[in-house]
Amino acid sequence: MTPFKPSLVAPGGSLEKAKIALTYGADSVYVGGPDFGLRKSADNLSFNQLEHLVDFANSLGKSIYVTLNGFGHNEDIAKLPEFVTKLQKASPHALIISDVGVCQIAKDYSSIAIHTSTQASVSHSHAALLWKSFGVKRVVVARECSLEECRIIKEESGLEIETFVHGAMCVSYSGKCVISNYTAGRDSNRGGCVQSCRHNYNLFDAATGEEDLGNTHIMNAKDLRAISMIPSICDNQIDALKIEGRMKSNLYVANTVALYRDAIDQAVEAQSTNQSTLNTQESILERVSNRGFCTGSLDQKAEQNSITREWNGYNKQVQYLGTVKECTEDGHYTIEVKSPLKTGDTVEILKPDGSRVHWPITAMTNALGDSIDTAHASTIVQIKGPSYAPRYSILQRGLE
Amino acid sequence: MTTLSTFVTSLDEAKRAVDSGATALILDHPCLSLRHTANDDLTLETFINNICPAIQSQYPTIPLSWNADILFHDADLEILKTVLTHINTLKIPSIRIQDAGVIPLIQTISPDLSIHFASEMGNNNWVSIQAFEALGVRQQTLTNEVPISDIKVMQTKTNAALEIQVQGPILIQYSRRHLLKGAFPKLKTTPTRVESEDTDLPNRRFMFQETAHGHLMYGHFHRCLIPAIAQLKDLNLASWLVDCRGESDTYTRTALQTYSDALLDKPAPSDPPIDILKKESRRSQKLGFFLANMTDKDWRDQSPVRNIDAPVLAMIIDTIKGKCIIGECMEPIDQNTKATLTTPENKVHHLELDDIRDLNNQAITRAEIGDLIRLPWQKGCTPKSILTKT
Repeated sequence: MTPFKPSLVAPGGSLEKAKIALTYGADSVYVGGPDFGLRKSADNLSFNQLEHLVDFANSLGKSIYVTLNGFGHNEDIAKLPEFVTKLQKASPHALIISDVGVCQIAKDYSSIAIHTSTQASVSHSHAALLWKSFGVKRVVVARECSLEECRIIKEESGLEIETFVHGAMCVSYSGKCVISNYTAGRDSNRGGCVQSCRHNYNLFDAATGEEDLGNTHIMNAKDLRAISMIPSICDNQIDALKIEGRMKSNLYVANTVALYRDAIDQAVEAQSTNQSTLNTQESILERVSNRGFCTGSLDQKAEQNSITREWNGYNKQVQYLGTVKECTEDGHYTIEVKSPLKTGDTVEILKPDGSRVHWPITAMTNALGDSIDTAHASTIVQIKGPSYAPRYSILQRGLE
Repeated sequence: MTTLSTFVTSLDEAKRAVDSGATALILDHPCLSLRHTANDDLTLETFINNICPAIQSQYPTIPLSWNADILFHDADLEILKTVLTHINTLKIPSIRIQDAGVIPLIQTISPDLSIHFASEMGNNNWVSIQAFEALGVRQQTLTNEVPISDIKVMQTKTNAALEIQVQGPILIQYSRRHLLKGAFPKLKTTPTRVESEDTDLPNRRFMFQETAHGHLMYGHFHRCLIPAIAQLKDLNLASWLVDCRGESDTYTRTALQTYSDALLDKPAPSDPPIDILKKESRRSQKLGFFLANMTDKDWRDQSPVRNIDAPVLAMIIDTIKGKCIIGECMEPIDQNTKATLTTPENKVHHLELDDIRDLNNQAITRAEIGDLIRLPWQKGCTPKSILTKT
């Protein structure tokens, strides 16, 4: 019997990040269009960029999903038919939708497949069946679902099932939170979430309002990391595994996608679990900025152990330095620098095939070819590297 | 005729509610009620066998509904099926749900049961209202973020019976996790209700509550539509919801009586009810988003990138003062395109792109999406400036 192989769905917070995700091994990428998504602050794509990205994905046999996952108000609904009609021209492979009204309009004005967003909090098989009756092809289940529940939902509904396996998590049922609306004047469910749940809260006795019960980051959810569960996920025949993070760096996208790609391929092709490899993959994921990890509700219901109450900032062991924009055959890199670099630095380059090379920078030039010792953030530099590194290779450096 | 609905867990609460003017009661047992404040030792058996029949006997003409407003998981569905059996036996005419996924299940098991859909969040537009109406939902409770102008549009575009919460604490977050548990190692028992203050937003007291169904967070004020009672009455809604769960006896009586009097066109009482509600709840009483929802409209992103509608041709990623600027193309760019360069400080330069070069300094006539291009130096230009089509 052919082993079941889930597809890997990765975030594309910008055109470049989307291409990085596809280049590093994602089967699909979800991106925001010019409007109606849930990440207003991401570098969402124009219609032209979306068409370009769809062509790029098609050339690789991969897919692009467009997030249309805000909960629309009347004013949004009025603009939606024209927007969906334009999306149809770009021909993405699916729309990710939370709102029943938005779903209705998407069906009326396009023939693009629809995936139900995790924002709709589909947490049982009857909810999936309801969305099936609306014509959706796939459900991205609530993050509160266990693998066992995912399997049941798939069996009972006959729909494709997608679940999150990595990245930041809402502490609440996604879509069931409007804290930002009342604290910051920003609509949580239309892309304006300011993540008030991650703040520190002073707590008081409810009866008197006076007795101080201390303070804590009581709702600060740890990040999800389920790479060690990939074999079990494959056994449960979950169709698609999603990585969160449209607002995160090129390094995060490249590193996470490469590791999950490898874990899925190993689980399916080798049909065996190498614990040592999984441990290594977990530790490499830990190197990139995170809030501490847990497995969410995938194996058991997330409770207090899924919260980082004592918050001392993000954990990270590496610094993102920049992205290779161009490279000649003989290994001359053109790099967009994101953190300062200087000659003598030893950097690590992560390539799209997942390989990693360390080497010291011995010389740099600016975009005009003038020799420089230090490159500041937001500059272009040219470096002679140890070997050819494809476009979108990532430079990073270990932190002390 | 607009009904005045409220939640009850006992015959005493039902008496108080009806005496204070409630014309519809929502039976609120902990097993499926998200926000219940009843004691956990109130068994379903007692509620079904004693309390519900007593309320029905005392108030045979008051419409009743059963509150089942949790988000369900497959394991919870058996409880729902059990409750539906009891509802059928007791001939309770309607059920109130938050999870749209159980609508077809309820219709299969209890085809005559009227479904009230109260999604708390996320049912904000007339097309979704219409879609739920088409599914057979009899009444819909609008989310608290829908302003009066939108409600009027919904009334024009749909035939749905609409309810809004007119009074009480408003739910602003629903988590399945129990976050209070283990948070107070020095306390002998974990509290089920805690006041909280975001240290970044001092002087606003939010309420946290935990039930068997999860962690709930309420706004720092109570929604109170008394100051807009005339506009509220003009809407002629199917139902007004007064949610007094967890509030004092005085609060409950004052709130229900005030809205009841308004519905019956009785004169306003001499003691301002808002003052009583504020004192009893230790919460300010506000309209919330009822009159207007300016969310996101009064927010100004300082980055000019966000405020320009024209297509972005390129993002500037490097500048070498006096010599050149380097951009990454976001759209194809042809030579001689008329463009506008906007800096992060909002300085604007109008350009004709007659000299486009690649990074090897070779002149080119067209650059594609993703290409790096070199353009002549522009004074004041810094990285993160944007080039847009004029």
